[in-house]
Amino acid sequence: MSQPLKLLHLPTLVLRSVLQLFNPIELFELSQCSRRALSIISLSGSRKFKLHMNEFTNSIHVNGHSFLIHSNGSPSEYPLHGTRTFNGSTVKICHQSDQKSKQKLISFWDNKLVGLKTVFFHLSAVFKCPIECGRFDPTIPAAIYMSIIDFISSRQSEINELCVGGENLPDEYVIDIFNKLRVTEHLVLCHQFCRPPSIPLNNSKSISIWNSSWITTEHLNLMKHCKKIHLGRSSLTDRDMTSLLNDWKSGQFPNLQYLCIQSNFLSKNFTAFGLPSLRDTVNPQPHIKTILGFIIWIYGSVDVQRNDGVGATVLFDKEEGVLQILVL
Amino acid sequence: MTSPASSSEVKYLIESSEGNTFDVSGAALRQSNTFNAMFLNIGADGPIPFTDYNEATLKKVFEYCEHSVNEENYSGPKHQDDLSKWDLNFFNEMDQKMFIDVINASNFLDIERLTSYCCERIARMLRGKNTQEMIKVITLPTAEELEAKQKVEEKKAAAAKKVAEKAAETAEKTETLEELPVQQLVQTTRNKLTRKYLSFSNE
Repeated sequence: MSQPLKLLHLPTLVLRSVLQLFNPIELFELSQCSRRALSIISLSGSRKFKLHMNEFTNSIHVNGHSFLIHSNGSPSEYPLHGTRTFNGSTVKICHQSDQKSKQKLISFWDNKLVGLKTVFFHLSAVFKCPIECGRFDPTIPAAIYMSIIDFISSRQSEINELCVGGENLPDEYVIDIFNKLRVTEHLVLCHQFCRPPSIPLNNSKSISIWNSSWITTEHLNLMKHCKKIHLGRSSLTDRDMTSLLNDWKSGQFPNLQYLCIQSNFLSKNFTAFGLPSLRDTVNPQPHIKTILGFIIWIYGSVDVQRNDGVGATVLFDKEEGVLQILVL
Repeated sequence: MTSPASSSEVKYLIESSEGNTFDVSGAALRQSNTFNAMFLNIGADGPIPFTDYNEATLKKVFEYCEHSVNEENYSGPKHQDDLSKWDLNFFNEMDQKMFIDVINASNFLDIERLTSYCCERIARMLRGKNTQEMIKVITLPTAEELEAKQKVEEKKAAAAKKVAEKAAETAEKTETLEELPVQQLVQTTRNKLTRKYLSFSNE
């Protein structure tokens, strides 16, 4: 069968079955063939694909297949495989595949951030799928960050995972993001607010706030249904922490699997539950557990129990001012 | 259609687009969900007309069905590497046209196993290929070709419009001087414009 195949003349059901056998990179390659080829991509069920944008690694992942963005200075290290057009910009590309037979497509750009944004917009339009995850370095320029957020929020009102923060990002923009997007799984807030904000903290299963100096016990109460809480640079005091631990013990944080709070306002001899210390220095044991995909490791903690019998282990590191609870 | 005692012995007459008829066993035909939905319970008097497909295509499709009657129940698409020698020969001896005809017929008759093998075979023709290689396989015009074609068409249309406007202008001037009646003037101009446009389009 060496004659050309009239793919687009196949019955829709057949075409759909064929396209469902392709991975996202093969579909992308097909979409580049012609406008008509582009128009059939969603027949593959691509609307249900999982698209992750990771600005840390300059990559976009679709169902585990990666579209990587490299700087134009590096193509000499890679065998080039022609050019591809992303939202009107034609750039050099290279194909690679890893050991798990997941394919990678590397595109080369003068400006990696512009490249990442362009590829992201293009792939979202090709696959017509929602964006599941947006990970960003907090130093990303606010203009680029907001254009990506505006794009996401114009297409969906929920996102599984989002990192909120950018260089010189004003408070009001951050608050506006929370008005537009509901982060359901994992919220990472790396923005440093000038004033205590009013933002929803009860939507996500996991919350990580890098600079949580504005967090009060009232805010903690909003996080009662979280599985994982991580607060850095908080201003919580011994009293706040004792209140939190008592609430947890009485079962007011029923889903909590892991909590980690750092505060410079905790006294060196802070303890709770009537224990002499929240650190086992006599027979320290390690505890390891995976929670929401994150590996948590604690060493030298003290075993405690909630009133309902649920066991946990607690550690207070007086040097760092870090209190951790890991539910076993 | 005959009505024998054992359903496995039933033979059905199939009619192709040429009006030719041939026998297919009930067991083979029951692999077609379309047949099951249409004829299995109510039966059929005379040949079953699958007249959108030619005899060669239908025979090829039912050849596959007859062969797979004794295979285990279908449990999802097989990888091409898992196909039997018979299956591979079946596909390899088809030319492109026959292959497409078989896909279309199999799709219409809703023969799950055959359709999915055909789809897997097409996917295999494209899998792992880059855009340029795909274009060669699936005979699509490239983006550049489409763009060039569109530009030519736009240029032609613009030129035709210009010529038509000029012709209308000239016609209007000429006919006004001759003081023709209005209806006749309009008709004459329209005829001239049409002739001009058609002659340009034919170039």
